[in-house]
Amino acid sequence: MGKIISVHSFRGGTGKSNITANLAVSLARLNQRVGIVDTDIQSPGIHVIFGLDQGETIEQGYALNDYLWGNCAIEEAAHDVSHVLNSAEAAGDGRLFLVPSSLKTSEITRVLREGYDVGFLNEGFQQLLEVLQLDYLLIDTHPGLNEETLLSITISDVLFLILRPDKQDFQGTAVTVDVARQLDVPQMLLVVNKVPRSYELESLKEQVSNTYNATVAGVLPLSEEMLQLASSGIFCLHYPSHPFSLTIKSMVEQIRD
Amino acid sequence: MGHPGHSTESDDQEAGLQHSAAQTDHWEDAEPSDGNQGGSNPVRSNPARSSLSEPQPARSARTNSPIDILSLPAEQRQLMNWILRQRQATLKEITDKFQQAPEALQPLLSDLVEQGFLTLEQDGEQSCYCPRLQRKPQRRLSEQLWQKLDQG
Repeated sequence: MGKIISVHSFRGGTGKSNITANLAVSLARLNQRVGIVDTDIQSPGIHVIFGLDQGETIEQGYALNDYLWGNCAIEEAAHDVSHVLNSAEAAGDGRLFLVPSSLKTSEITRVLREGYDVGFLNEGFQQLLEVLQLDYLLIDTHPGLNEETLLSITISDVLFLILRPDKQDFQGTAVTVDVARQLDVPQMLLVVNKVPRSYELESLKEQVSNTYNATVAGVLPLSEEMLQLASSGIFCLHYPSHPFSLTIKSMVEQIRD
Repeated sequence: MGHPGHSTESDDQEAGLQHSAAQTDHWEDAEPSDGNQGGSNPVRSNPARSSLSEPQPARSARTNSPIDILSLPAEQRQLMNWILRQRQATLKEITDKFQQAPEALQPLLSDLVEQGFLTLEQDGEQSCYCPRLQRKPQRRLSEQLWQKLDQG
């Protein structure tokens, strides 16, 4: 059975979706079968990074919402986005699937209005692992603590907690770390993202690790190139030698069996 | 950068099941005990699995969300966390995992069933504990507002 990896942060704007996409691509490039589920139903976005906002749109296929309403099996909502890998890699065993959340206003408001059975999510994750024969299933979560994110954290083998070097992020992350410990997450890894150049990375890593008594998997620099890419692609494919991409690679090594 | 927030270990983290050393010598698979069966599992039904009994209205009507797991005592929370990851588990699987005698775990599991966190269901010839979680109802907004959003 494959591993479930949740990528979460207490506050929004920490770069969860970008990190999720880059982790997923890096794993797929190692010939792994990887799935991503966008459980940020209230404010979905990771589909943009994979180009599903152009050409093949979400509207043309099923989304996570359709599964939650019982309109399709969850694997039918999985879009094969292996095309983002370069041709040589795509010819290998690595595969990449994305289950997006719907961007239709009516779908988002329906979730807000009616809610859904969170048990379906758990069933759906397991179904994806089995049917798509995934080695890894990455869950891009909604920021903060709510029922869905708690469920995602509970059933995860690995939890990446993303924070920025910011007082609000630090305090919120302390709450999340505490909750994750109560939920017995087998492997919890902190990631500091969007770190300005003026910071001494190793010192920051040590400070964060000591503060939370947890492993810091990586410290990712704030980069001009990332801002320029503006979610229009997978950063580590565009800039494979960039410190961000190298840190992602190191994070992948920490979660491999 | 200012001082980051402090991390606090859960007070009862050390008091959990992993620290119990009671060894399981022999056991039997979960048998429904009187009055402890929950209602039907809201998770999409597995055709091979059927609820063992009719729901008890006073207890099984209660719905718990993942947030409610956090308010459980440490031992029961650890049981719930693990069973959630497994999707379902027999008493043997649970006693093997936590290295405790069935008679030590059975009351905790029965209480979780009674509280509506678990159901005891038949999967083939085995009785399995299955998580039973639901999303809490949302706060109500004006129907007019929803209609407006739907039109959008």
